[in-house]
Amino acid sequence: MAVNIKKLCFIYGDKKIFQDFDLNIDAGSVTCIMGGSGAGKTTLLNCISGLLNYSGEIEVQGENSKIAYVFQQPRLIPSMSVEDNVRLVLPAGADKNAVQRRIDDIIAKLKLEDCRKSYPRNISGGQASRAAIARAAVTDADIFLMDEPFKGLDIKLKKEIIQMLIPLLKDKMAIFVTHDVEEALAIADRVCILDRSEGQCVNLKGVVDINMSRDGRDVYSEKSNELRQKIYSML
Amino acid sequence: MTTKKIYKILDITLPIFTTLLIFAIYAIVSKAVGVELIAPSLGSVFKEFFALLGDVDFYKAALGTLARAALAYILSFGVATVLALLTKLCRPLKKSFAQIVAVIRVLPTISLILLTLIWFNSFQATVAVAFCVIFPMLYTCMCGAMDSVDKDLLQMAKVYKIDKKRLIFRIYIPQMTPTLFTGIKSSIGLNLKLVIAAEVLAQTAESMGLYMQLAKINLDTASLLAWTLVAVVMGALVEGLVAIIEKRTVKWL
Repeated sequence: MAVNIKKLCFIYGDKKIFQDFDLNIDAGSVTCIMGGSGAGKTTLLNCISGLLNYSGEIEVQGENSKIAYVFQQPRLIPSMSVEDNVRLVLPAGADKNAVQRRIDDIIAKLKLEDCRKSYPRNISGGQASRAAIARAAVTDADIFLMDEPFKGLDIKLKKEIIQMLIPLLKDKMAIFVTHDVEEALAIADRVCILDRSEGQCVNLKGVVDINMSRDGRDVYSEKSNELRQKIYSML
Repeated sequence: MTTKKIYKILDITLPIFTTLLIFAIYAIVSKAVGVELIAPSLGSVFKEFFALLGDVDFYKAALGTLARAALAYILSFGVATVLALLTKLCRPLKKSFAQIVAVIRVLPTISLILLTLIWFNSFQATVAVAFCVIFPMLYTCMCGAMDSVDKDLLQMAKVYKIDKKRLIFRIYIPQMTPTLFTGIKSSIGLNLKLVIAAEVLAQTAESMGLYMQLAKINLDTASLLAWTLVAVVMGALVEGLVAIIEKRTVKWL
């Protein structure tokens, strides 16, 4: 599964956001999109997910083009329990036992057992973020779009959730928007930095390849520090 | 005693205290006036009230009024739902419906009653009057409820390709429910009042309005007040029932 973006154009009101924008995202890779506020990161995800109408081409290669999107806000349905929110995205006609097993598995992996029957208003921000990730993961989609899913969470919680997320993204393609270099270093195979000056269109300012396995990655190693500096210098 | 417990006790005792206060004020006024014909004593009113409870005609009248009120309300709710749905599906309709609703809303209720009495029989007239006042309220509420559905959730549903059935039952209806209940709570009591008012003028058979009108003609103020008390109790019961249904339906807020 790969995503090839060719000559993407998107106009918002009278502002051109993307003009002939190209980007290739490899199969099975986690690509972090970074850049300043208004650099077009969320807009790019919304174009890929089909939420925005664009011109140009976003080609999804592969048989299963199912997309799972973890939004900035968890977007859980307030009238449904955490478990039912996770269940909602699964096909209605699927085998009930298989569905339940899958939900139980994801809920266990994301440590949501304690709040599976709770309504979203009664759970913490960290639990809501994990519930949104569980909803995305349960779909078995091959493309994960994640738009600052850890925004507003403390560092400890972020680390915990990233550790839970890494195995879930194995062999999946993910596009992960973040402002946090540490998050990018912990999770990404590649970091793309977008830039958009006042009145200009989005351009790809730079790409940093991480070239380290995601499992057991040491984000404080010498190589990680070099990469960190490289990313900071481009931002 | 915890604050929560104190609030719970107050929740029960305050309405009882307020009701007793109203009765006390009325008793003082009645005593001060001293004329049974104008302000009968509480004793006379309650005597009439309990006499009504033992009369078969009372139940026929009360049920008749309730049935007409229910019919008018269901009709208003149904038409409001259909029109609000059409508005949602076809935006240009919104303006035309808004104009029709605005005209109906500003129609003086008394003109409505008189006109419907000319055009329809007394049963139809009472239902039509309540419909003309309640329908615009429910239509506006329904449109507001549909617009209040969280756009972020709809985007989420689009990305995850959630089927239409689940979109309606899992997102639209639960999201609309709190706004709908606000509209229902503010209109259901008014609906009953309108039906009774129309019954008074239309002299509908087997209705509370007819008995109120008869009491007025016979200068039987105690009976009129007893019927008023029945209407108040009935309204309170209906509103209480709605509040219970709301509490059980909207558990997540």
